[in-house]
Amino acid sequence: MGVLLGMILLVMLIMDIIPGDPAALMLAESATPEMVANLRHQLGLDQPLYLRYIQYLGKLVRGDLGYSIREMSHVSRLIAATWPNTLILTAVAMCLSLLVGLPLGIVSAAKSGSWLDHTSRLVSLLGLCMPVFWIGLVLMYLFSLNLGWFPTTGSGTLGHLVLPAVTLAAYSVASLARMTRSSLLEVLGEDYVRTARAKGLAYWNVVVRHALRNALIPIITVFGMQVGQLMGGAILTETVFAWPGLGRLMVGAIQGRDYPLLQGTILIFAGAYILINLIVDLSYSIIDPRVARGGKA
Amino acid sequence: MSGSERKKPRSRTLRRFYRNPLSLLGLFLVVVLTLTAVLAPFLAPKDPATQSLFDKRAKPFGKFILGADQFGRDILSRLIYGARVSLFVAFFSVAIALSGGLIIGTLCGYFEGALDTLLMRVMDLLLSFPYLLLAIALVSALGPGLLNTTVAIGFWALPTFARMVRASVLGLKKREFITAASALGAPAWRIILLHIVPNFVAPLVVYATLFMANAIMMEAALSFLGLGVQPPTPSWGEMISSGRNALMVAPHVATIPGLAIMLAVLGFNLLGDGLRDALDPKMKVP
Repeated sequence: MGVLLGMILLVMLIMDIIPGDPAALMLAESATPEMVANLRHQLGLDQPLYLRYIQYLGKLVRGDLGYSIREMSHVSRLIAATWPNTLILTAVAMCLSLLVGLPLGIVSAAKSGSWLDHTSRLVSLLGLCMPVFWIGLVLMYLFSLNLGWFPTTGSGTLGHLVLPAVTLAAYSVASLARMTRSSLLEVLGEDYVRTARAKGLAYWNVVVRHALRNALIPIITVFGMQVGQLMGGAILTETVFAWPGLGRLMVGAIQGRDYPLLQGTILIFAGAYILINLIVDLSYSIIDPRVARGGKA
Repeated sequence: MSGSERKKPRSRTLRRFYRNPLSLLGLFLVVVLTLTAVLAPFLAPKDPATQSLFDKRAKPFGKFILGADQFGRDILSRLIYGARVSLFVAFFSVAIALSGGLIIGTLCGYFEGALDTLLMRVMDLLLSFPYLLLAIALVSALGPGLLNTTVAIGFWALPTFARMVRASVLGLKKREFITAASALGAPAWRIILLHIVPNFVAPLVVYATLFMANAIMMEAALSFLGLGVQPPTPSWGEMISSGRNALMVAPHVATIPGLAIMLAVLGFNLLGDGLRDALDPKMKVP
């Protein structure tokens, strides 16, 4: 909660250092000084920062994020209309990265040194080095413009979701695979893994049931950090595929110098990130009972 | 004890580095990138800004080795000059993050107390922004441009550096040689500069190298969104963005700069990983 309050203050401070008068920027150049002053008053910009901060908080608890003059709509309404799209996109990308990245890392660690391991390491290394928006454009060129399998931009059908989700997931798949591999390799060298093998348990049984469970904590931590990456990536992916989500709303707000909207979208992103990190922290105790008992993980 | 064991640790580190082909590949890519940036005026076959509407979106391997963009500008020359932008941002944003992080981190770690609590809270706050968001907020406040992009990226990285330095200082402070130095009457600045800082330079160098990869990626992303380096300055991210609209007729305009970004990022990542493995395989880098 404290973090959120601090974050709102910080965002307001950043918005405050913007050179030039936001009110003058919003109006046409022919605006008279009275018109500018009038708008300043309407936006509450003539008040000191601490007062505006308290007012903003007061409005925030009532779900009011201000009014976007450019879009002629309440910021909260604009955000409400777009956030489900961003949620769908990031959630699908997250599932994809779990479904692909985790098995890739497990196989890579279990068969370490094999050609499978080398290929998966090479692919994930390259995946980490490719810019999200570039992956998006390449996929768009190959699969929509050339093969025509998927629509290029927009949203609505399931087909629209495929390319953006794959684009967004690519980085997470790569980093999750790398983390899973290194974390699992470390655990596979432990004595209890050797004991389990010596008892005569099947190799894959040991890998999945004994080793993976103990390797999960660092994997989950990386996964939690991935959520932040995914949000930043969503901004880029939505721009590439014209996906009507929060990210595109935000980029539009920056280009149109729409500060109430920009402030609102930044806060929603940041708030969601804090929430997800909280969930990740709580999940530690489910995965590793030692954490819940107050011991060190 | 064999002959190699008695060698100086530095030569052992170097040997570990040279034995790893991936580290060498990373070093090679970084050296090539640096040379390209420095020697850009001599390497570029054409002026990166000269427009020629007759050669609009010319295909690669013709009159232009890598083709031309929508204004008929030579893509290869723009790539070569774009290396300057990428490297400038990477280098100076790291310089900002490193110096700021070093000052804040050592102050907090060495003196602790209320200042430490306050500064670390601020750092936590900065770290709780999702990736790209803080830089976007800063750039939209400062305005676009090469310098502002560099400042925003440096600021974004500062908290991580500060935290890392603080943790190292806290750990080192309790060691005997520091107690000994302070018992001998050495002033705080001397202990910090001569006894503490040299002991965590290695992880810092590794992280700074890895961060350069991040900075290049970040600059490309900001420029792609139109928030970073502004045209006509050639930036790889901006080149991809401007090639987007002609993806169907001229895919090379948008895709070739992406390969340059990939190679640059790969270079710094491999070099950083190689340095880490050579200096200390057990080193923890955030």
